[in-house]
Amino acid sequence: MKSQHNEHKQPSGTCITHEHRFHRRAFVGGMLTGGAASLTLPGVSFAGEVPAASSLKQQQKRVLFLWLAGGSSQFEMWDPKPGRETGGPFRDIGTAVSGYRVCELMPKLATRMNKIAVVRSLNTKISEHFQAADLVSTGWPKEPALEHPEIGVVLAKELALQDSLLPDYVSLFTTSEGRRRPSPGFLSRRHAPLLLEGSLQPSNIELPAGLSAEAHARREALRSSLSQQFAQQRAGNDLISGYNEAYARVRGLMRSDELFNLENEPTKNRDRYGRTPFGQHCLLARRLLEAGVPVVKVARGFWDSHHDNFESHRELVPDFDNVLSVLLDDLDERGLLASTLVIVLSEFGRTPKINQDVGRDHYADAWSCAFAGCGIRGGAIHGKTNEDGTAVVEGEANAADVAATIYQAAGIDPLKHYQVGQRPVPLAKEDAQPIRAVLS
Amino acid sequence: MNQRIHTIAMLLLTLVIAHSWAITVSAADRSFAALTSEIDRRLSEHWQSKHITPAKLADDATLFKRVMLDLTGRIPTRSEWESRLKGDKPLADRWSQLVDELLRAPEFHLHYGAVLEEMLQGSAAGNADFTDYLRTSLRAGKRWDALFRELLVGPWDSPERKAATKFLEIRAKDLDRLTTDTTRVFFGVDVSCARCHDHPLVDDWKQDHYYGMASFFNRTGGGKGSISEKSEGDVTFKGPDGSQQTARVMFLSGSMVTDPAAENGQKPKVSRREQLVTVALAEQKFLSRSLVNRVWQQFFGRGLVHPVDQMHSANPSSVPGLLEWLADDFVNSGYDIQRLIGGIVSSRAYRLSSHWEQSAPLPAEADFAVRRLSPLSPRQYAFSLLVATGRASFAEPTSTETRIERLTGTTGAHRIAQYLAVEQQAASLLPQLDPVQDGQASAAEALYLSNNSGVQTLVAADESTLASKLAAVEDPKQLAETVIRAVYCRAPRENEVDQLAKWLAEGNAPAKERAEQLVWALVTSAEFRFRH
Repeated sequence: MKSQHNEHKQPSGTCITHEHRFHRRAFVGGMLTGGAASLTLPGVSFAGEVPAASSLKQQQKRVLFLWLAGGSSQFEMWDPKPGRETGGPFRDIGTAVSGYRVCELMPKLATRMNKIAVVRSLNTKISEHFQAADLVSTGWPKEPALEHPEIGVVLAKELALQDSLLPDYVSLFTTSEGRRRPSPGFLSRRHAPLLLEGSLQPSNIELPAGLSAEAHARREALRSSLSQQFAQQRAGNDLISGYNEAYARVRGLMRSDELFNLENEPTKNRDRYGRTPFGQHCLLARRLLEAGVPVVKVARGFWDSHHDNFESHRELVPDFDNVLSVLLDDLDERGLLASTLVIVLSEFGRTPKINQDVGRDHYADAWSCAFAGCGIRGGAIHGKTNEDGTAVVEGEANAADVAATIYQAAGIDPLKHYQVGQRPVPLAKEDAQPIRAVLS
Repeated sequence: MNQRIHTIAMLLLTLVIAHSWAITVSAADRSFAALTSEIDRRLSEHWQSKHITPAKLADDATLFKRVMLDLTGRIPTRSEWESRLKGDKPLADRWSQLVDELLRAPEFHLHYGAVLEEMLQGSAAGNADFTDYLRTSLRAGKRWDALFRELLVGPWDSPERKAATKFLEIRAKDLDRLTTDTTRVFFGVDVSCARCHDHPLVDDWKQDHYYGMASFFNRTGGGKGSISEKSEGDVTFKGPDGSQQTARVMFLSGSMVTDPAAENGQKPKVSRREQLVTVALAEQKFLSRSLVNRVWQQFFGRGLVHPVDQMHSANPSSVPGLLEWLADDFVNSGYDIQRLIGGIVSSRAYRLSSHWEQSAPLPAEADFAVRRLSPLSPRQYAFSLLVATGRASFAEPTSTETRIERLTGTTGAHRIAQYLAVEQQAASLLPQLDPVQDGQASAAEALYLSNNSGVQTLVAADESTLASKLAAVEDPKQLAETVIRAVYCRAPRENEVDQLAKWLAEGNAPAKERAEQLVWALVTSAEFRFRH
């Protein structure tokens, strides 16, 4: 598995992995020497592990999903239709890309459109929340005998670094995403994300009261050796390997507690992202990505605007406009944007027709998504809808195409196969076409 | 504390009253020997045809623990397994008697009622009234056809039966969910893919099937304790050619249901759900095969048809003819779940070892030729944790308690009270444990068990817990032996006693803390976490 993720433009060899690991330790260590509160696991010294060359961290590929749960409106964001019956009350404004205009609710992103690629021609057909979210987040239609993994889980598996002390995937979701958690599908649950649900700090990462770090480790060593002995010649003992791996991650996760603590971030940065939940979640995402967590997903809810679409977008879009702008600037300033793929996606868009409650309903036939960073050609505007935004007229793309685009941009061959029983299953559906226009 | 005992006592009273007029099923009806021999015969034919030599039978201690986990939802206490395994006759000779006894015990009804609730409600499971309704139904010997009818059409005329509305109630506001879930749960078929078009991968399922099934439910409404049904209204949908169509009321088999003709210009009132129940019971096949396959999955970790909601012509049972035979037998027995379970857990396949020592490659899971490890369900794991650590009591009733049961006619009341007390304790653990269907362990559960303060309290050496008993033992070997007997429910092996004794000797923590750490290591080890 390890050798597969370095196929893209990176020097070959396993030393990369090793040095990345080194870098991550260095990061955590750096915080420690930077005066942050001490780490919870005593007896482990970070001395001597000074941050390595910053070029290393720029080579590791990372992915950030911004999931606008409920379905954001393309009309009030990427594909405005001012003056049309379907257009709503907002105007459009010019952007850094000549000839391309966005909704006036996104003035900051407008000036940064040269960093962003937009696809305005998605047709994903399914307009029921759960089924659509399954489709878009896996890139596959639902299949009876095979549960496909979420794209983020596949990326976590592909971009994971061996022996990492950090989680491979962290998913922050708001209540609106409800019971939906990123599914590992046919992949092992060890690639499933660490979930931050109620709080920004993962649960149970502190040493329990009354137990020394040494006793904690000794207890675990016994658990692990008993389990390995039991696994000998057992049918289904691959489950025990996975079980032991889950426990093996505990120590590393316990060390990452300071990483999740936003108090460690300068006030200036916290203010810059805005003191909104979405802003703070994205700031945390940036911390995690910088530390070397390969995949992060931030879900932002409340986009399902069946009522008062314009009022709710008047609130939601400016926050999104500010946060994504700051995030792109911040990643860029830290030299991370070129190696970090940022994806803005929903389960679907919203109807051209404005309903009697001044809302827009679910619409999957013609909507938009956006990309930036790693593998993306900034300023590329792909596809077109008709004058009223009711149908795609140029460059139609489906959910499988979006998945293929994501894999391609992250340097992973979309046609790479996983063997599931007898069946080879490609990462992206066989007939998927990466959207070349947005790829660099 | 007093409050809790009071609540439990009230619940008990309800349970006891509810089944005091229960039909007593005679032992002959429950004979599952024929069932077992047919399962054995068909599987050995299957193994022969595939040139598989199955694993040897598991040892007695493993088997007793396995059947306790499956039928009562927990590991046996030390005194339970020690007294059961005493005697010179191997467990195999006493197996059917043991199974029969376990199936009649109150703990089976309590545990299996909760298993059924999870099967019916999925992630929405956990309603005490509904679970108790299923429990009293099992205790009363209510059959699956009767349960199916009560869940979908009632009558919901008594307080106990009122809880049966829960299946419909949580889905009443969502026609898609009601249609999809009912079809998946009772008939083993997922038609949801045929909602927008004919099923892309399964030729059996067309849009007509999805909307046909939806037509049985589109008149149903309600929620929050009441279920209503209108007498008018049809489902319409956009067909493959884009035209608007009115759905025909059609079962999965293709059987159409038509409303009776109007008399004197008045349409007679019909319940579409009643029509569904009638057609499903008349056709038998979907209802019986689905339940048998789901029960098989509960005991083997995998259905004969897998996944259990994908029963269709292109996905046949992995052991030819077995599911069909079992389903027919199930119908002929009058939909007797206990008989089905008795037959399954008495089969040779159920009693195979999880050790694969042959040089031949491991047989496929679907061949059932070796026991596969599977994680305990959160309920099994939580209950077993409480038993092993000594937080739960399943002690036999005292002589006074036995007399009270006899004099009040409440046999089993003591055990029911114990069970409900443990269930209450387990409630906080359940959401933290990995669900079985994921099959894989998560770092979240490992973190929880490693660091959560509630878990530390669970293994703590206070009151009369296992750790406190261990802390009082000085000899490391004796200590090792005690912990293995209490947690693993078997006699210790010499090398592992030495291993644990060595581990104990190397530590420098006080006896109490050492004991706590030892208990933690065993209850989180694979032998305890997995069904084997």
